[in-house]
Amino acid sequence: MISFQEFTLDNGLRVIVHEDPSTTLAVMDVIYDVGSRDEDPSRTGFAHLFEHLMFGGSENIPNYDSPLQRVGGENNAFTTPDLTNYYISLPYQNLETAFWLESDRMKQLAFNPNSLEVQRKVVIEEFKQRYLNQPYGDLWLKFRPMIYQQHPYRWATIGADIKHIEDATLEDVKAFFYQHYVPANAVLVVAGRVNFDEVKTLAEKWFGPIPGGVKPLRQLVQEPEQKENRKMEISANVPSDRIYKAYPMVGRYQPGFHAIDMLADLMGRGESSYLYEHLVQNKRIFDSLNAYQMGSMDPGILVIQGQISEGVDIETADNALEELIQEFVQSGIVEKSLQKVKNQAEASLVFMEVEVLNRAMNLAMAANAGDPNWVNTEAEKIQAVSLSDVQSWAKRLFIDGKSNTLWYKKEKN
Amino acid sequence: MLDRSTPPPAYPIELVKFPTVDVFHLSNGIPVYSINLGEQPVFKLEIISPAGAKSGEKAGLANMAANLMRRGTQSHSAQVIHEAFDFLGAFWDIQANLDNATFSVYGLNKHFESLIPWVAEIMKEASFSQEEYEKEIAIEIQKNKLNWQKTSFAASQLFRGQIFGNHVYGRYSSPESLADLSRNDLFDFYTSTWVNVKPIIFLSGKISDQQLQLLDRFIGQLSFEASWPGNLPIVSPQAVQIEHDRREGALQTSIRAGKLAIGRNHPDYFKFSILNTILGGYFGSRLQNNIREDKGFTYGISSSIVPLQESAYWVTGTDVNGENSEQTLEEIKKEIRILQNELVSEEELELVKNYLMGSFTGELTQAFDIAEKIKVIQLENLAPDFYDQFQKQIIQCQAQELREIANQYLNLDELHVVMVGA
Repeated sequence: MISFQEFTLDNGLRVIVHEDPSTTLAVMDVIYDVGSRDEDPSRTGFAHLFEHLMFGGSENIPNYDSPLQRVGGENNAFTTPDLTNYYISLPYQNLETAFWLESDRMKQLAFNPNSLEVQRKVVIEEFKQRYLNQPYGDLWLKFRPMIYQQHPYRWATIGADIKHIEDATLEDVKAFFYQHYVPANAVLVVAGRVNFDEVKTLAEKWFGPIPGGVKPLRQLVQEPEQKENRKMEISANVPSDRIYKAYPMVGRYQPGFHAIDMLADLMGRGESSYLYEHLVQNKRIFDSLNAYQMGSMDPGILVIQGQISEGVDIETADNALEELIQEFVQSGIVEKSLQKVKNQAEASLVFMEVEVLNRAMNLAMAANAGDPNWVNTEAEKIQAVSLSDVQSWAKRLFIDGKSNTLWYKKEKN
Repeated sequence: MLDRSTPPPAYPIELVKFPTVDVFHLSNGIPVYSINLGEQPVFKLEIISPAGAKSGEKAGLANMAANLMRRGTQSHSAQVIHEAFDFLGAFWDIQANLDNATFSVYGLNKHFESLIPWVAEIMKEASFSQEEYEKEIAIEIQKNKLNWQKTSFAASQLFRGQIFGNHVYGRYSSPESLADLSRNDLFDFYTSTWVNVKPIIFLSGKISDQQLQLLDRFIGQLSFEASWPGNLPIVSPQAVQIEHDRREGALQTSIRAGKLAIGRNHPDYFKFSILNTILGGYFGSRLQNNIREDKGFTYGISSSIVPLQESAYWVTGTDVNGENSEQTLEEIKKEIRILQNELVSEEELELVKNYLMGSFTGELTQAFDIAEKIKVIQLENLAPDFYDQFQKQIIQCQAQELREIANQYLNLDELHVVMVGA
């Protein structure tokens, strides 16, 4: 149970406070409701590039990091397809420094041209380091456009192409800031050894004067229903063949999400899971097999991925996997296994609450999605999943015409 | 009108007293270091055996033996064991590093009693069956091939090989060396370490006496015949080399540059650690400012001290745009020379001191993080007040001392360099 109180400033900024006097830290988490799904298709990767620019100085503070480090704090940020999250942790007595820094860059970014030039290069190196210079690193760059043909999830958060990052201009940066980085489009969480009344006073002092702006209306093209199985093969200099499969599912806050989450765990979480037992352990067709769902806010995907054992033909492996998925749908979903994955999910939730920063981040995510108290109802929702829920979702997900399969093959020497 | 250009008042960061650690001895003499802190009903149990890479005759033994320990006992198949841990919602792993191996279990307190008998069984009765051996070796070989394709992995391995030469710390495995490990090699390694040598236990989280009693009931009754192994041959400095393993088609170059260094048991360690922070140990470091924030050659660059039980090394690492690898190396050297010749400004030193003190504040309020530090103190035989001393030394550190340290411990003539990629 994560206790919290909340209030909303006149400019529309929603503020959530979680007091935990047992720590000597204070943390601040800010989510802006903008991610790579909100990008222009010809300017992909921009939300993430912009996140880098948020560290390039604001109207009154030329350097974001140093003043924070000077008072003993640390910070970082990340961008997802759905949102952008910034977080700080620092000794509690210096909490006001976090308010000062975070409010100034929400009020007015510096738009420093040099910062754009440098961060453009840094992001291109990040693109190479994570996606191009790693075995299988380009998988999602290739797989997303096959799974999503309309919805902006079809490009990765890093961007569809390095060229889009090269082409970004300062005008783009300004437009993006004025449209998305407004109080009405943000959620602020303050947690740790903090006091509600003090946070309220500080929030009014530092964030209160910022003009509220208008929360942008999100009108994304939704993905049409998939009607045929899709398949693609790519090959590269990798040591093993791999199979990736994706099946369309509901979004993070839609009915059925928890049942599908349990379904993925039953199939492929850890070495006692159904897929592992049959195809890694018993038949020795795969060296590894995992299933998971992406947790995206718009309708997402359940992914199954496996690395094929040396000497096994990829087609044989795929047939065995397809056959096993059908066997699982028919007879593999049983009460004891469901109880197991529920126990695993329960433990994960408790462990998530150990760190105060995680608690703050989860409150912010839930608030951004609609209601901060969703962090506290998660456990009941998991327990409420019934065997028949999971079985019926399995039958709906794994039907002919709904699969996306990618064969990632090693190049023949 | 609110003045946004003046920072709010900054308050000094208070020293955090390192907590008193409870030591409980099981009936067979195994020490259990425990730290009870936090509200969530969780625990982290870590059992440490001297089953690290340095105890093995061949490269890869320790790591492979750790893998196989997870794959079945004389009484239970791997499937049954994994099912049992997963059903109790516990996360567990066995990992070997250069010095030791750790059997870790994270779980909810209400399942502690059900989990411990499994832990005891795996410590003593892992089966290393022929079938699991064949499967796990085949999987590990593929994993190893994949790792060697990553330029950053390859650079780290080759760098360690260069620093330590023929010493066991310099060994690394390859698909060929893995294929050469027999089932008997692995089982003998397991027997001579986990089965025979009395381990050390660390327990953290919301801990109760009842948990200690349970440890005694199941692990306190096991018998161990051997004591911890003695010291290894002394590490001697190797001839400096500059190695560049070029890979066709690579877009980046993974650079590792560094040398043998002093470890935590050396009186200059604290100052060396502060110096490392300034150079490459935090996000605002000089290397990060120069190579990333000024030149945009990389997504990130950092330097770190890697203390081992019988040696230590210092390394700086980055993945840079292929065209800029030589220039990056020159800039690394340049930053070291500046530290050797010029004094760090009071402003920068103050910032780094506060940053480090702030990190301590964060790390000393959470049970699992404290347990990490207790482990360091015990495994490296440090004074119990090591982390209190560390904080005091941070506060007292002077710029002149750092310049001396830079000259003494970062001699550029001793810099080993490995580059892999473009």
